[in-house]
Amino acid sequence: MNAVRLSRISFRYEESRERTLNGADFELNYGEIALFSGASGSGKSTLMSIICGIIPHITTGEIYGKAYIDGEDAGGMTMAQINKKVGVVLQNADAQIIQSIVEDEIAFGCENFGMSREDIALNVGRACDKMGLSPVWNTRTLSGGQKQRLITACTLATGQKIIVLDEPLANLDGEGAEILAGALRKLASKGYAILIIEHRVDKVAPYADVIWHIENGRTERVTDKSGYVSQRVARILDICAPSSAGETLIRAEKVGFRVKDRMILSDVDLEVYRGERLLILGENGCGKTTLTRLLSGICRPTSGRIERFDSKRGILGLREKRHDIGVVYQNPNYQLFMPTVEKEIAFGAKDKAYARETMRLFGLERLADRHPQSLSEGQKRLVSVAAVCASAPRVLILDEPTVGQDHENLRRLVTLVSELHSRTGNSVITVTHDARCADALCDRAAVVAGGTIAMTGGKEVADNFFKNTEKRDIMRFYTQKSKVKLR
Amino acid sequence: MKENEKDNVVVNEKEDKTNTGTQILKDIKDAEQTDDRAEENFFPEGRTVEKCKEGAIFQPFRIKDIVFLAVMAAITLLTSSVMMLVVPLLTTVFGIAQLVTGLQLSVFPAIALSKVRKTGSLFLTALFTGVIQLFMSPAMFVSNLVIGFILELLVIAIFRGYKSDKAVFFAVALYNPLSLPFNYVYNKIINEAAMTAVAENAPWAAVGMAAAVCTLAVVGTLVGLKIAKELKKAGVLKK
Amino acid sequence: MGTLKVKEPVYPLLSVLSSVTVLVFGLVTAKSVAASVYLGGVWLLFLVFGYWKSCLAVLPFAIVAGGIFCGITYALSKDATTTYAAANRIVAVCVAVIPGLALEPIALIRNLSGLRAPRIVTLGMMIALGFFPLLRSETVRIREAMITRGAGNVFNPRIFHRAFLVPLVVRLVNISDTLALSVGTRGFDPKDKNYTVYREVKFRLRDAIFALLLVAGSVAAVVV
Repeated sequence: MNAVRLSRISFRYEESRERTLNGADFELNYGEIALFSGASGSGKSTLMSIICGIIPHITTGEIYGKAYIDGEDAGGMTMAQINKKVGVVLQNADAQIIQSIVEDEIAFGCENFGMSREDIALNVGRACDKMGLSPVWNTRTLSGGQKQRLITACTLATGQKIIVLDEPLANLDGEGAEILAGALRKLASKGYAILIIEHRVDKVAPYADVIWHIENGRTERVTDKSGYVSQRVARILDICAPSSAGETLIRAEKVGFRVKDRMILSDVDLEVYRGERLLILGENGCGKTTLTRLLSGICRPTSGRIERFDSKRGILGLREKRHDIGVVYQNPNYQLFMPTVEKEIAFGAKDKAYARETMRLFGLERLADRHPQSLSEGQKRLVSVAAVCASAPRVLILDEPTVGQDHENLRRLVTLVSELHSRTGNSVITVTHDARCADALCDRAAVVAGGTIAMTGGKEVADNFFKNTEKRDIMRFYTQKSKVKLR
Repeated sequence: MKENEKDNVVVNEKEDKTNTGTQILKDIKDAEQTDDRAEENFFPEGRTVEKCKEGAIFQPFRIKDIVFLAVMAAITLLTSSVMMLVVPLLTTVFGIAQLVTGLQLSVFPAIALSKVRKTGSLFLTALFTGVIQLFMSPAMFVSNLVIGFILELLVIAIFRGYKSDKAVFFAVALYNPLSLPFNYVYNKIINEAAMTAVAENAPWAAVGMAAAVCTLAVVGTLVGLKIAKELKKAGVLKK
Repeated sequence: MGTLKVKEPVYPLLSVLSSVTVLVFGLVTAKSVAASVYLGGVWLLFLVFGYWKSCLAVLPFAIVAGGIFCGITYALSKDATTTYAAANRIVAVCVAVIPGLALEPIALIRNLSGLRAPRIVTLGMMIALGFFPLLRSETVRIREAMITRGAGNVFNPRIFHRAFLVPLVVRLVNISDTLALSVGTRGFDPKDKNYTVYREVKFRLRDAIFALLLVAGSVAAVVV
């Protein structure tokens, strides 16, 4: 008996004209880790929602086909019945934590399933052990990675034999990924069925027994795993001529940043030069985003100093010429607020003609009258970059431009940023942990590790960083697999 | 189209009654896009997802309704924490609490009710926002609940629920201003505080404050409705 | 609030009732000396029952707010009795919040769940109380995003509306959508009566003693 079997599932969202799934088939067996991948908007999350009962019980629409969960017809099951068999780890851990103590948060699901108090205590303890958490920790002070582990622990504690994880690596650092991978392999070896939805196939493929691909609402089982992975991690080529370092625009000296007792950055020395493309690399949670917030002047360092320079005025004040630095957030929803795409791009632009030109360059003219919030995530990302670029900043900061982007969208975005860089000679700072765009956005690379700049150099530093990361991933996988076998 | 295909159309809020020519053409196109074999029903015969009766005054609250109302209550509470700055003036200056929370208590509830248009939504919002008030000002908690309840009854009687924006406007625009007389009576009976004295000695100041509170409530409700309308059009604020 | 936690708090619903009682009796008797004695006695009662952190935490606020409040009242009334009553009122508010400062929201919710209160109410309360830190950080991020887009002036109503309120509501909708899915997939069902309360909240002898002392003190304050 399959853990999950979907037979020719078609689905159309209530508000949509097109079907997101169109006769999709899928199988997941007990004792197996399956990776499910595909481009943004291809239907990965929709398929996951059907397996978890979110569709049709919370999200509504038109559905055809058959879904079987643990051999039982899902069409005849309530959401609670489905969730007693399928545990789900969703994205955005932050938005899912409702309790103030780890123990209470993990116990919440167990309470809902009516477990006895003794079983809850036992399961909470086990889940905490598996995910490296302490039951007494305050949920509000956890790091992003710990929150992700907590949400995973919540699912593990409820004890379903089928586990679905939606982009589980999004916020995990190296240690977190290792803990999660270990736990999943152990569970699979004990007969659990595990489905991981992830577009970063290179990160999950080493752990997966099977890979499924989804495109245009249809699914297929991938037979050539390595070919599939290499196709999706192909690096985007650099189309810009290498730039020589110009004058210093921003200088960070002995910069530190602390939140309460937690030291995030210390002794950071870094300079940003005119016309260069600086890549900031590092594991999740290492302080990359904090560094860009400091460089852009959004927040002040708790020690050391950051100076901005202007060729005419010399050292600039904190609020002086702030628009010279354009920051594109990881999540575009924070930065989009105007009623149309055209107005969004024109907002803050000194030269409206340049704003129109930027909109044309980004290929957004056909969306000019659309509300930015009505666009797909990939389109929103393009609009947010275009809107920031339209104000012609001397320094453009891109924070994790790859998040939620498939290869095609990413390639398009990188090409546009490179074109703008060639035209305007702006400085581009990119924060990423994604190898695909590293080469195309790098003249110089700085690696953040241990709360400081561990290394700087040219493209070779980025190359080495990603090679080492890949090695670490593979090592991690084999270490976990051998540990499982030994047991 | 199969006979029992309608069982597969899961419509929780509004049933699609327009089986027009365009719809038929679209269905044919959809069928062509899949394959030649007939599509199977997702639900076994006789089973479907629970539907809400369109037009019914009382509709059950779903998880996402409760969560949205609670999140909106949380942001209302968070932004209303500016009230802490005027605590020493609460029992002296008539309407000061309502004035500093005027926008928060109208913008966010208007958005909440625009999404969850169910009888009881305002009362639940009042209950959720009232939890913290229980310790700080039980009188405010009770007044919010009573006002919420009265407004729910009025909305049922006049508009038969929150289906129209007029009903939302009516309930939200009155929600905060109605606590003014309640607070006055409470202070008069129990508190015997300076507030009533000030209100009585300087009635024009009290009238001015009341007018300001009402204006803020109307402006805040209109802003909330405007944002809700815009985001609904953009597909963000779905039912 | 976490730092003001009590090891063995009073029965949560009793905490709520004690706040209401203190406030009502404190305000009713505000003009008399008995009110000061009563409020001091309740403060000591909380202290004895382990609420010492909250008892100390309210003191600075009571002094500052009391000072301002009394100053305004005296300036308006020129009457010592009215000012004395005003001081008692602010102290009553401060003493009434002591149990609230020390109460973990989850304890109150478990208490209500144990009494089989409607699940939609307990879930809503849990979210309304527990989402403060997340929403605070969201508002900070939106303020930062406004600055990055050159829309930093929140005092401009148009900018406030477009660059603050619109993204804030979008984020609130996103957060509530995710949370609803998370709660649903974690087995929460408003209609299901078969759920467990992990940590049972029991009414103990010490709660009864606390209630008796509080009621006795309140009655005495009025009678005297």
